[in-house]
Amino acid sequence: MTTAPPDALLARIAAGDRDALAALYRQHEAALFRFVLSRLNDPTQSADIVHDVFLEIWRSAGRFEGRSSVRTWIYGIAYRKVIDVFRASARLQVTDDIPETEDDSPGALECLAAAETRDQVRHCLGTLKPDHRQAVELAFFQDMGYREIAEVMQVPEGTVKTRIFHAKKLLQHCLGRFGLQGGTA
Amino acid sequence: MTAPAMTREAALQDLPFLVNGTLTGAERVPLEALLSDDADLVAERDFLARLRATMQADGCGQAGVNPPGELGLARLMRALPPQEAPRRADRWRAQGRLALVAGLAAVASALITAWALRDPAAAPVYVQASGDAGDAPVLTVTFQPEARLADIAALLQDKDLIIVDGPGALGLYRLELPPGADALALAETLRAADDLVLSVDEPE
Repeated sequence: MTTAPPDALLARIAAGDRDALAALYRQHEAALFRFVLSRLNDPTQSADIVHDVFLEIWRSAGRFEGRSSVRTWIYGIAYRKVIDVFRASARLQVTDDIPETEDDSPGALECLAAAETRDQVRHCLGTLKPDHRQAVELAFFQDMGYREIAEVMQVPEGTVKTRIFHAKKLLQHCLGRFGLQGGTA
Repeated sequence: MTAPAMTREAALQDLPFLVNGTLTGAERVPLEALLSDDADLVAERDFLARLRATMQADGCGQAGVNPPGELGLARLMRALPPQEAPRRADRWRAQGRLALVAGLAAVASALITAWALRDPAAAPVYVQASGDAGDAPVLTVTFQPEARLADIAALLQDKDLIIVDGPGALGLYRLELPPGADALALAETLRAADDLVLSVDEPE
């Protein structure tokens, strides 16, 4: 099975091609689900958001103007839907504060006992504020550049860099408690 | 020409994007110049590289949480309108085509009626060339209860099959076949994958 470029798939979707929508879904669904889940921390609600994102892609593919990449456009839709969820439940948090407190979350001790580094990284990512975590996810899991992340999150490029910088410091602090070596700068 | 100077703070903020390979050449040059004689900065870069490698190897951010996969795709396909209206750009052309088809249908109807009246014993009067409903062939299957979603997804993707309905109360899924596919051969292929597929009905 060949992998069609997202732009070509979007053009076919705009013409009503369901197979193209299925192909685009298969290209992006898993990573998009992870992206939404990192913010909502609710698998069922995250699956619903992914579903809604692809329905919106189906409806509005013809309006894609190509000013950003297809991936940025898709993640932008998802990001706005997540914001809507937060607004609806009045739990919107947009902050770049760094908490000075130690990591004393309930799972910390259990996580300390985990042998796998990835469990510890996963745990520490979970202690980040949503905006920080999402910026890190986009940079290191999706490999997006700061311009692309800024477009998805609709914040200035400098804010993206600041969020990731702060998130990195928190991760170093958290992982340091597990004895994992971090940077020193 | 020498690269423009870069502050250490700016370098620290750019390191994540050096690690994920998204900086432009012009952004990379001054950063790499700073890295060449700053061991702490190198340690930062190495930390970020390990973090990225660990996150990418992890696959999914939460243990035991799988993405919706093929079931999500089936749900999506069910949610689509039965037949999408023509897009705005094609609307006039589509209306022209509609008028042409309607005209041809009227002529064909008149010819068929005339032919049937001339020879009333002939039967059948009308046979649809593309079969019953003109739909793509569909296979109805059930999967092994212990089959992993990822393995099912891999099998379906490999054969270009899409779940268009299901699971029903009995665990039945309806799979749409790709255009031009040999339905009988695909049914046999699925039956052979008996570690994942429990049953395959005859193609519809």
